[in-house]
Amino acid sequence: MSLTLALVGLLSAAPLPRPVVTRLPDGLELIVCPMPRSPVSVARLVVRAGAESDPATKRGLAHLLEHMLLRGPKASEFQLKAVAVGGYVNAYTSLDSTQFHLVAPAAEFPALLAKMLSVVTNPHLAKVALTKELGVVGTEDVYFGGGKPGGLVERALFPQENASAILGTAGTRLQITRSDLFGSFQKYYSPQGSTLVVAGAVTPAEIGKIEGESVFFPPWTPLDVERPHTPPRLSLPITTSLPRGGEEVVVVGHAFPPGHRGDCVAVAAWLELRLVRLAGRLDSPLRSPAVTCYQIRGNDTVLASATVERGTGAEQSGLIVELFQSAANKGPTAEEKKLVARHSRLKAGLEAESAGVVAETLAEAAVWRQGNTTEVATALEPPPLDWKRLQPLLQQSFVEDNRFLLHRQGGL
Amino acid sequence: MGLLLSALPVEVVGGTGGAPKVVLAPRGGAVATLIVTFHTGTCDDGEGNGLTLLSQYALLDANRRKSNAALQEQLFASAASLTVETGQRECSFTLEAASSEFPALARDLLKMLLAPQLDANRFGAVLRHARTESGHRNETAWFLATLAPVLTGDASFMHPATLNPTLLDLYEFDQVRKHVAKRFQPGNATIVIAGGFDAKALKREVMAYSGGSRDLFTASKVQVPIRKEIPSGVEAHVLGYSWDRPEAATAAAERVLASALEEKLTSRLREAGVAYSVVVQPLQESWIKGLLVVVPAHDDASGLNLEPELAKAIGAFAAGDLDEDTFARARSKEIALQTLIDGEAGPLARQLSNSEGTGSPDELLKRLDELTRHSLTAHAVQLLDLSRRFYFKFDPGLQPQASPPGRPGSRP
Repeated sequence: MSLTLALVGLLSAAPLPRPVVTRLPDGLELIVCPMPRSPVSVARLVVRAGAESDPATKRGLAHLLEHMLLRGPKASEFQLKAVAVGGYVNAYTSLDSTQFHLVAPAAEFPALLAKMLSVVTNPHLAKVALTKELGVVGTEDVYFGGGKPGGLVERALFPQENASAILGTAGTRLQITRSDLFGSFQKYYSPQGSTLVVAGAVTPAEIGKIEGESVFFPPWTPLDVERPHTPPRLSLPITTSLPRGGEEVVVVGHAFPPGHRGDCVAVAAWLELRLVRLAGRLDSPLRSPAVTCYQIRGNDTVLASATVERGTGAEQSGLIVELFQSAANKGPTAEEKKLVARHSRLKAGLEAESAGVVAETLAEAAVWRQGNTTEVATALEPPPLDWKRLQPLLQQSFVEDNRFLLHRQGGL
Repeated sequence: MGLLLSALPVEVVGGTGGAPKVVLAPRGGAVATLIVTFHTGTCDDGEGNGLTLLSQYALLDANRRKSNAALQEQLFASAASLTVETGQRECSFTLEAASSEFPALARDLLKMLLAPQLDANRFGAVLRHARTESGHRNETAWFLATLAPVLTGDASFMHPATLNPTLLDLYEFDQVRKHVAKRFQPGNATIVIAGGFDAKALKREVMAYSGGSRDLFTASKVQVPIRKEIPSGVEAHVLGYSWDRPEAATAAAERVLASALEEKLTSRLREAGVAYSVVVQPLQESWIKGLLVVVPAHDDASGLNLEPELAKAIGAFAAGDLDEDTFARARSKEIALQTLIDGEAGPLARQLSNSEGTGSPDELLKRLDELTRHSLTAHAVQLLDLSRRFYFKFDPGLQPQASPPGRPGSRP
């Protein structure tokens, strides 16, 4: 490396962002991650209630409410303003949360955030708009109802939650009234049930001020108690087939003990190194090896995946199963520790370059772990591999009873 | 016009006398991206489908310059990524890494790709790789690939999805070696580097490679106007306008036109409750330039018929009916996006890699800044002429049933 580049590297490496977690006077949790050099700022308003809260006869209610909150003249005006400055507005409903997402150039962000908070927390919910939005959701169901690929793992582990759990069906959506939408809003859209995550060229004080002036949730009283929001338990062990198609894929995962997100990330990096080496053998039928600490409905899991030669999935999953077993029995070598530390440091540095990635990581943590600053911080900067601390966790986690094994057979 | 324009210059060298064409966009920062594109793709496979893919994998898996195992481990240790894509007229390798890791990785990868030493003994690994992963493409490229043979009548536009992994075994090492020697020469490559890197050092390094020349192909003539109904599982409306004008002169107008049209169509169809998402984007493929509109929606039971509705909305633009507010938003959006992209290594490299002939980012920004509603309207009248139009209605009412079209730009 030339001296010039070394200097460029030193000057350009951003310090890892440090999130600040506070509880505002109205009860809303605020997580702000100042990233002064970021050209864009990102907000995610996380409401800790999603499709799981829908009544069985009105499936699709939470998702329809999410749509309706971004409909109407004020919402349209806000979205047009955001887009005109190169920004982006979207919203997502999962089983466990509803999130409103804003990305905007740093200079325009504060004003747009104020508008988004005002629009979402002070809904109009016009009756005419409801009829039209039901049509929009109907189209979304037909063309985009398959869900994201990661959802396949979630659905395999929670088979009782079928594909229509979030969007509902045409029948259940037709049962939803304007009064249901208001009822759902009043019940779940509360300050103490929500977190505002902001990453970018902002300060906690600045965001706190905007929140105080723009959020119109019903007032918080000391009598309000936050609903318990515990992750649903994974029913393990499980071995199952995913719908056939595309490349042949095997996925092997283990639930990781709660409260150890940072260790989960560090262990995943270590196992990825081992899987990369396994796949690197000349005769290896494994490709695209990846191991991540993947959150499935609030449960941390260490999830390993690879594409395999067609027809060899069952055999190759055995190799990955062994990978977990050997990790539980013998710790990382000094060479592995060094490589993993380097990988983790560089990866954290790259992620710290993106306000979007930081906000997404923090929002994921916020759905289940509001206020736990340690968990939030280690999500951005995993600790080093410490075998003394890890050994009992891995021996508890990497056992057959705690394993899920998914296999998708390839198809033309 | 009072707007801050901040795209930095781009340096273009080589491209003649056997040297690769090199596009350098040094921007500082903690990340760098390298894209090596060879101007050859599945269209050059001849009767044997899969030759391009095997050649790409041979460069990685059967190369004495560096073993794939060593490369993958280096990528892991550097928290870097390498993506392989196979298109119809091009194929590419994309490296993304922290600036501190980039020089060593780029040097090794360039040597592997531009001066390979293929090893027959490792050909088994190449075949296994191709049987396991039949080539990655982004959604829009996949979608356009389905339209190419219909629009051009050219049978060589074989769709990548037709690749049959079992036929790959019929290839012998020597066929692949010859294909690499003929098509994967430095002179037939375009190399784009963006972000934080030492431009002087990398330019010297890349320009040391030489040999072969750019494969020039005669683009098949796009047959417009055309209207076709295609059997499909779901209804979708795909239309566009094809033109062969000098791109640099119209690139800015095309972008703003696409943004303005997308805003109008989205607003109209969402307001009517018939569509969830509408995508309008400029077409910058080697075989077609123009504008693409994708509307995954069906005629509404209440009487809204999409084909005349779309014709009416686009016809208004073609007749010069574009209001000042919509124009100002679309232009301001494109300026903001281009300014943001200029600071992001990955998106900037991808844009430079896909915009041959459309001018540099600073030139594009200048043209965007100069664009007026009057000049855009003049462009729209010319570009959106019915004689340039293609219209495909994917219709579930037609037999036999076939795969539905892809989902470009789908939202979560």
